[in-house]
Amino acid sequence: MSSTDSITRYLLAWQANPGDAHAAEQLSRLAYRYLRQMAQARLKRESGQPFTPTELVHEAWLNLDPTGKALASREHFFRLASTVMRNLLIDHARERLAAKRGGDWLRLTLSAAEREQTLDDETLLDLDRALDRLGHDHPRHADVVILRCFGGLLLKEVAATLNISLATVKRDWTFACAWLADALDKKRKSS
Amino acid sequence: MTIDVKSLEHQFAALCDLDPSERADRLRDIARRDEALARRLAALLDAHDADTIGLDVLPEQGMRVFGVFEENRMIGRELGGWRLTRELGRGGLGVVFAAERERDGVHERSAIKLLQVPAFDADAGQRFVREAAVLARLDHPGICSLRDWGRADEGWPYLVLDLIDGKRIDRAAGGLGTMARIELIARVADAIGAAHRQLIVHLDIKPDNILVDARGAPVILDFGVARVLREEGGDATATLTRWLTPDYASPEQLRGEPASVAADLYALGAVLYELVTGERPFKLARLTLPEALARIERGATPPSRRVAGVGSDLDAVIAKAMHADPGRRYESAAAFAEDLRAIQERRPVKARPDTWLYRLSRLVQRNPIAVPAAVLSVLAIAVLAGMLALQTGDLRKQRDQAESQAVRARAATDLLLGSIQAADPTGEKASATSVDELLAAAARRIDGSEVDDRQLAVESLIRIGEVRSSLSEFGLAIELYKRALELLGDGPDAVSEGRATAVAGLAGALRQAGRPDDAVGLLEDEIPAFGDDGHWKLWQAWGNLAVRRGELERGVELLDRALAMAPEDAHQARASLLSSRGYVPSSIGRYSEALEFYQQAADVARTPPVDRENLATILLNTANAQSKLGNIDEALVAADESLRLRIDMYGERHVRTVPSYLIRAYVFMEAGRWDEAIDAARRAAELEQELTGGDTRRMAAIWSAMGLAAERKGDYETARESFTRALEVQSRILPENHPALAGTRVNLASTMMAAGDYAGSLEPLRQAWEIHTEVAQGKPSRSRAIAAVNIAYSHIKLDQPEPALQWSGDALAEAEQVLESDQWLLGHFRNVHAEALFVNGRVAEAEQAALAVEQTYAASETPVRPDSVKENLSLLARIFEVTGDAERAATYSARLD
Repeated sequence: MSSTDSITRYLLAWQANPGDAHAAEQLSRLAYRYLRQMAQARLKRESGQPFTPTELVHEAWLNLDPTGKALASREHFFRLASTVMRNLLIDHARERLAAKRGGDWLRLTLSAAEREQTLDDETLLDLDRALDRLGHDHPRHADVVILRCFGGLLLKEVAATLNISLATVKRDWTFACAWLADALDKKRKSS
Repeated sequence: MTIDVKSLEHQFAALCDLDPSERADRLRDIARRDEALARRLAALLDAHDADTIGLDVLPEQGMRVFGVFEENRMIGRELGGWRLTRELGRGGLGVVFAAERERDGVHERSAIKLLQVPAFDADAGQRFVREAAVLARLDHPGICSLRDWGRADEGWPYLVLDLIDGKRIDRAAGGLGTMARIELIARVADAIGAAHRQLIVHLDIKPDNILVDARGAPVILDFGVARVLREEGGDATATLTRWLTPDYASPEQLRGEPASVAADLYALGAVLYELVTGERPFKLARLTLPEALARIERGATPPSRRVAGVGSDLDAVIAKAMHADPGRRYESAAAFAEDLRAIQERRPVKARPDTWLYRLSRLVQRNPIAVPAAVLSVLAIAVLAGMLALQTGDLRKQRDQAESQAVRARAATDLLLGSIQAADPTGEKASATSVDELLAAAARRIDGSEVDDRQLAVESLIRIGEVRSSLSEFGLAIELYKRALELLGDGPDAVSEGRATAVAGLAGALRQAGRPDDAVGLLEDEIPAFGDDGHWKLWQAWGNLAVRRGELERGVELLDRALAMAPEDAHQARASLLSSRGYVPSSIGRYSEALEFYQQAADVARTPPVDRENLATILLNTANAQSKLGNIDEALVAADESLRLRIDMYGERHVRTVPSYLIRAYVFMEAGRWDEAIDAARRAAELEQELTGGDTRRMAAIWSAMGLAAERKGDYETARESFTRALEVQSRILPENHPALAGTRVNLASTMMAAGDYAGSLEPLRQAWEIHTEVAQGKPSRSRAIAAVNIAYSHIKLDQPEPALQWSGDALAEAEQVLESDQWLLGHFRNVHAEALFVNGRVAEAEQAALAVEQTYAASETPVRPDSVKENLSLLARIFEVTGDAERAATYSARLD
């Protein structure tokens, strides 16, 4: 059975029963491998040309459902992909921090480094935890952030995935950004 | 009390859209009902307004992680004909695999290092290839050589390296005696020295990177990987040092400053320390950066105190290799190795606190590549190369715009550097090789038969010409440009960009060599060759020439013409033209007009790729114009940005940051903020002293600026000291009769006069007067007249009427020839003369003269210095007291108050 078939199968199982932990875990492991292979295949095809997560996720979906007749829902897949991307980034950051804490490393804060267009590992982990807390009181808002930031979805795709209006997505996004910025700021001040 | 989630969301959405005052009203309303909710809302709104987390970068960050290779999936893959067989290890920069290939029945093995860098950036890929090509030149048995390089289909860069079968040096040293360990390090130093002579630094020397092979020979791994990665992803120093194994890193690396060969020597010293004592010199992990630096500054415990059987010589050698100040380490890896061998052979070592290199490195820093015929070693060559790289870094980015140009420019730099190396391939002649000789050798080599590509030779000659020009060696620059033009000849390339550049460079060098007429002649001859319209570079050269000669209208016309012709996408050249254009109004005091040009210039200069040096210069001009217009805040913003750009580029301790501090001082002076002006000047002085030893014209300018600020503040003691120091510097570096010496002496004398030391002022004034006399060559001179009038004034104050009158008469006669009759300054001369007449008892003449001065001052369109008015009124009051006209005396006295 090809990996796309397995994903479709587990996706359907998960859709039918979102509480099925086994299906969820299998699914995210498969989806991770699948997305990563897609990403690298694409790099190879395009000789290292950059691409966005939006493109990747859409391309991945098209591969899963070339005819548009799949029983699995595109929305579910987008959610899945976003979660997988989130886990990937967080795991990666956690691993690197662990490696650095274990070894003889000195943390240097250079002004030049701050210009870099990435969140550093510690911020990323803080963000991850804050996102969990946000999800506790404001689950829809957290979903918007996950779909947009990790899945790279456009606001209107977020709206379709969550089945809410575009205006609500925009409002939720604004609220969530402020909420997270406040949480990270507090964390920074306390440390 | 818990906050209701729905109200929080709802109220937040409503508040977001309000303006601040409405928000405050509404929040107050809410607070009355639910204080906790209001407080939470206020915090969220603050965070909303600040919005600092930058969530937008996450999608791309995720893609970067996705785009990196998976180690376990690489086994079995082929890269550049090599099949990866197993993983050997991982480092901070990538993963190393064992690889093999079979060609014509020959089985070969190698190590392939796949680098974990973003795969997306095509530019980074090209840079990678270029830098790898440089590394491939390294060929030394003590260095693991780079055999090939490339990029996987997915874009991941990889290096093909020799496969070394060996043990890490610290483990291999286990069974050896102290002398054998020292010998191991000496051999590592030999290898490092060979790389340094090729202008390649390691920057990450540590035991993990040095293997000892089965025959007991050390081999250094990862040489130049830092360099290969230098420009990947933008600011490489930052990327590389953000997480660093600190125990072998030099303090300059820890500070994030540009590091060079001296950093490798430091690291090697640290490795030696560890081999000898079994412990690292410092354990810096988990310390903060300032703590780590302080510890290094204090120095490591001498090895002899840690283990028995180590002599003080080895202590001294290690201390020297690991000196906190890079300038005080060994001058080269070879010198380090030499001392290590001296220890083995029980000869005296050379390690001692101060060496010629310490002084030399200061000399080298004086000016990028500006060491006049000083004796230089291999280190200096490396420093030179570093500086060239620094300078060409920004240039290169510009040139990358046009591919063909990029390739040629790069080739020209390589050729230049290659020629420098070729001048001293072994390093044996190093002690007798100067940068001067190197440049000369480079020029000879390029000019000789060794370069087939004429175009390339021309470009290289132009570049060396530019270097010579920047060293103020205009004569040599002129020869080089001329030679470049000769090489171009009348062939098909006769009329080309290269020719335009060479002609423009030659014209500039001629102008600066004091031959402006030759420069004009050259341009007049050359322009027609470029067709009816000429070439914009030539118009630019001519425009600059005209402006410097004071032919402002002509200059404007020419610069505008150049601007009209310069290609739209030549952003940096256009910015530089606009800046020159702004210099014209600025030079005649029309600062707001100048400012418009400078602002345009800055806008254009900000178009990527930015030449930061160009932008920094434009910002300095902006700061100057803004300060003259009284816009101190704007001036400071520009001055600070310029300073920041230069610090980014060169580090704070660099000659180019000094003028930026100096401009700050001038800006504060314009604002009357004397203390801050003095502080800025003092910082400039410290840096200049440290970097150049202080015998420079700029040092004199800095002391003079500090003197002026202190004088205006009324701190005559500081002013006097500053001017005296300016004078000392100038006396050392300028000919006796240089006008600048006279100018400083007049400043010094003015300060003394302001402090009441009239007797002391006479000597510097007379010396100034003599210099101006010599310079004036019989013509009337404003400067000479000013010196004379000051002498007269001091004599008056000293109750010496006769010399006072003689000097004031001479001064006035001269001033009348050079100053316009209605200028208030002439009034000042007349007043001093009137005063001199008065103290000589010639009261009637004095009265007439003083009244005339009063008229001049009253009619003056420009504001008269208040002190001058006071002196005139005071004189008139005293005159009328003597003549018995009590009423008028009283009137003038009253006006004095």
